[in-house]
Amino acid sequence: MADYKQTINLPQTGFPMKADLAQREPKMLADWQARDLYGRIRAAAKGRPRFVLHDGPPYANGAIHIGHAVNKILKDIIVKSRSLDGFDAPYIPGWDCHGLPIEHAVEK
Amino acid sequence: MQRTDFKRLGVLGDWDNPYLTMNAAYEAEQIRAFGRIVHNGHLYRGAKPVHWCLDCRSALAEAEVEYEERTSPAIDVEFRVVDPRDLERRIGQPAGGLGELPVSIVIWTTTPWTLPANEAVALRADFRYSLVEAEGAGGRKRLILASELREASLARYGLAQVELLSEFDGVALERLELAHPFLPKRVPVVLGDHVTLEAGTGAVHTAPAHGQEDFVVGQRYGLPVVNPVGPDGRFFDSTPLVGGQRCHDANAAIVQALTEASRLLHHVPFQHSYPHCWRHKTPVIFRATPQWFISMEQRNLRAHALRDIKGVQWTPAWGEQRITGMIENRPDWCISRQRTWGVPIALFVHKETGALHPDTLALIGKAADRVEQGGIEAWFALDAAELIGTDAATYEKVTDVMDVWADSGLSFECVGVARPEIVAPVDLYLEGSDQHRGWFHSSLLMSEALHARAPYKGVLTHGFTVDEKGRKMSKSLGNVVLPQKVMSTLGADVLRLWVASTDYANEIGVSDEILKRTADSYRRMRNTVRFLLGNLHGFDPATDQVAPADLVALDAWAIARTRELQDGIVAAYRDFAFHLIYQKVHNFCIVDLGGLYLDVLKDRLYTTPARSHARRSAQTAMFHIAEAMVRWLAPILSFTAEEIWQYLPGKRGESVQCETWHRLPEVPAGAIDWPALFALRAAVTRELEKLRDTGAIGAPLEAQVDVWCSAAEYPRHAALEEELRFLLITSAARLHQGAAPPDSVAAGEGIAIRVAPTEAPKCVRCWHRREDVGAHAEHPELCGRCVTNVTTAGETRRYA
Repeated sequence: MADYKQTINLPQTGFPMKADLAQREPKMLADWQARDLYGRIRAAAKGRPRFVLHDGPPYANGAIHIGHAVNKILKDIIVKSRSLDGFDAPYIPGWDCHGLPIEHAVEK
Repeated sequence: MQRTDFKRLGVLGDWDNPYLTMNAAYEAEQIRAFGRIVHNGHLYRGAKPVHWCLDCRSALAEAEVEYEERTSPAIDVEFRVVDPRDLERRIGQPAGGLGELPVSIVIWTTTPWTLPANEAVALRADFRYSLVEAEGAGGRKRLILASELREASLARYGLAQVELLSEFDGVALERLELAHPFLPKRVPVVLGDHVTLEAGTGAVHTAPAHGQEDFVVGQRYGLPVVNPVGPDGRFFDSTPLVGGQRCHDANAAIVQALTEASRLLHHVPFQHSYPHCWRHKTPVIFRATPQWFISMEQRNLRAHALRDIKGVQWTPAWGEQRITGMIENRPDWCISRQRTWGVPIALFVHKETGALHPDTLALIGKAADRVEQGGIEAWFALDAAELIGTDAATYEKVTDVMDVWADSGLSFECVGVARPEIVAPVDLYLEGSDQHRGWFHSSLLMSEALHARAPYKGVLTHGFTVDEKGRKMSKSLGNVVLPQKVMSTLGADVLRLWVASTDYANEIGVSDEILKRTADSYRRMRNTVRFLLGNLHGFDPATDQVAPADLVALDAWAIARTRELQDGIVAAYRDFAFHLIYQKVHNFCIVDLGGLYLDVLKDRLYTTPARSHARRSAQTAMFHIAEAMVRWLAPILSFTAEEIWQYLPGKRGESVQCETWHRLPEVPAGAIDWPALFALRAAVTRELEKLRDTGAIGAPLEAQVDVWCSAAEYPRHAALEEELRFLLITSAARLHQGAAPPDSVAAGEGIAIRVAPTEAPKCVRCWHRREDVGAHAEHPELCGRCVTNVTTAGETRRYA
């Protein structure tokens, strides 16, 4: 039998089947930080009509819980989708730090 | 700490330069904004009850108060109806019918010393009240009591009911005049929802200077807030009856005065939970103190806010009703707090009259400049004479700070100074649905007070997270899902996909099981993309694209379908309907691509020559699908989209996040009725499954199909000509016009099909069973088209 394998085009890609997100994501984050990805996006969007999502300041205490994650992810989805939609969509996160020392001390 | 976690979620933003409400620049701007609010005439000085510790001689925050058991004198007191004729009219009694025996509303209280500050008696509008005549050792009395508490109350007083004269709702007595039991003044009946039937008489002694609920109901009725108790807990000397006494000691004198006036029905020691100072462990009192208010009325703040709420886009829509109700019913905003930490209310007031210094606006500006340089401490450390010179003899520096809701409520104003990107009114505020009461509310009022407009064009709220059974998360239930743990196991993109997949307007369910299902969906989408990338190998979009007019018809359909989907996805993004996007993309991967288009494409991609028109056409479509899809996914699967971006062929920018939606090529509509053909394919697939179940075939390519069409159906099913078998993924597909044989199966109106194993020999290259295998001497194991594909530029495909 002749070998026809060479005449067949099978898929070829380095894009891995296994996502391995827990390992891969932190490396990508470091890369984004090193490249100042946020700054690059701002530069690319310069001059476009603006879409401003104004971040509400959460109290700056404690580790984030799942509710925080929902809030920030929804904001990020909106900001990124508006950017893809042709807007200049900056995102300036905020924190509210007042009234904390005393309340915090009391709770302890 | 929070910042690291937020970044880890894949949230992109200016993390190196966030805005902080405690930045000196922010605080200074907040003071300047406060100055403009004063300038606009919204501020006034009033009084409001606060927890007051007699030992601290200071107001306490709610968090500084703890509750302990304490014994107080509980007394039942008569408040006489001033005009019995008015009462008769209100409760439907004939004029003069009640005669001259006095009528009293009875209150019950455990703080007799607050009676000098009584300004009203509160009833519940919808409770039933009884006017009853009763008799005891002291003679006959006519009393008004909540019907449900009537018997218990009379028993407590040692009175026997003689006659129930009338019953009515509390609302009937609104603003009825009563005589204070021992002071020469009249007080009205008011209505309040804080009145309960848990204890007492259903009528509540109301002293706005000494109780939070009393104060709120008092604001609604315009009752005076007159506080007779000094910071040391002693009554001012000018107070009748109890002047100079310590408030708790005054109970005895009050009880005696009530007894002498024959207004005391009952008196007993009573144990109850009472607020104490967390530091001194001593009982605290509620005491009205001077406070600063933003008026809802004096410059039409309420009216303006209600007007502008209508112009905001509320998502979900019920947010509008919710915040409207809150603005309609809220009292004036008390913006002052007595704390050691916070942004100062930078005012100087006259030591005796409390009037603002005549240069107030200029002084606020100077104070702001100092805070900008030295932080809020600069105000607290400031010697008044530095700013007002000799006026310091008559004016004093206010040491109150602003409510924290004023800090965050002014963010739209204060952030913009340092960050010109944030220009109010902004496009969107997005927080949990509790913020109609919080940040959305305070921001709206601040913006109205400053600019008479809303600070935002849109407000979006999300619900709170619960477990999959709808229960709150708690350690004891063991149902807490930690985002950090999800990110370190499944990854942030799975968490992000879960968020996108939820209908966030309501409660948002999450559990390990829900996230596991999300991870499965993620894998299916990832595999679809991987198939696209794998088959784009060797494709350079700059040189290898097939022009739209020259595309194989099925590829043109795929691009058109992608365009249509993209329109829906972009619209859903604009509407914040992310769960629809998740459904659309997921279905596209599973149904349109995995279950149909890519399944059909495999044969063409694998068996036609790498550079052939047939394969380049397929790659052109797949390329555009992948370009479109990576952008659809980018806002949600931010990590994975960036990863895909690096594997896509062609020159491209550095990040998908810098792109805009993919411009899909316009493809000619074509005359092929794809829905009809896809329906045929689905029917054939069903029959092939059955055939496989019987063991007659293994793979679909071991089968052949015959299709019979009515004259009406024939043309649309004949459109693919000899290429129909590729759509059906069978080795042969023959189309007939006319009556179907009895062993065929109906597959829709005017269509019948029959699938059967084929006896034709198998091509070793494409695995189709074809009669022409062996016809070519040099390639005896190949079918005719494979011979073409290995010896020429490739077979011709026009349709599939």
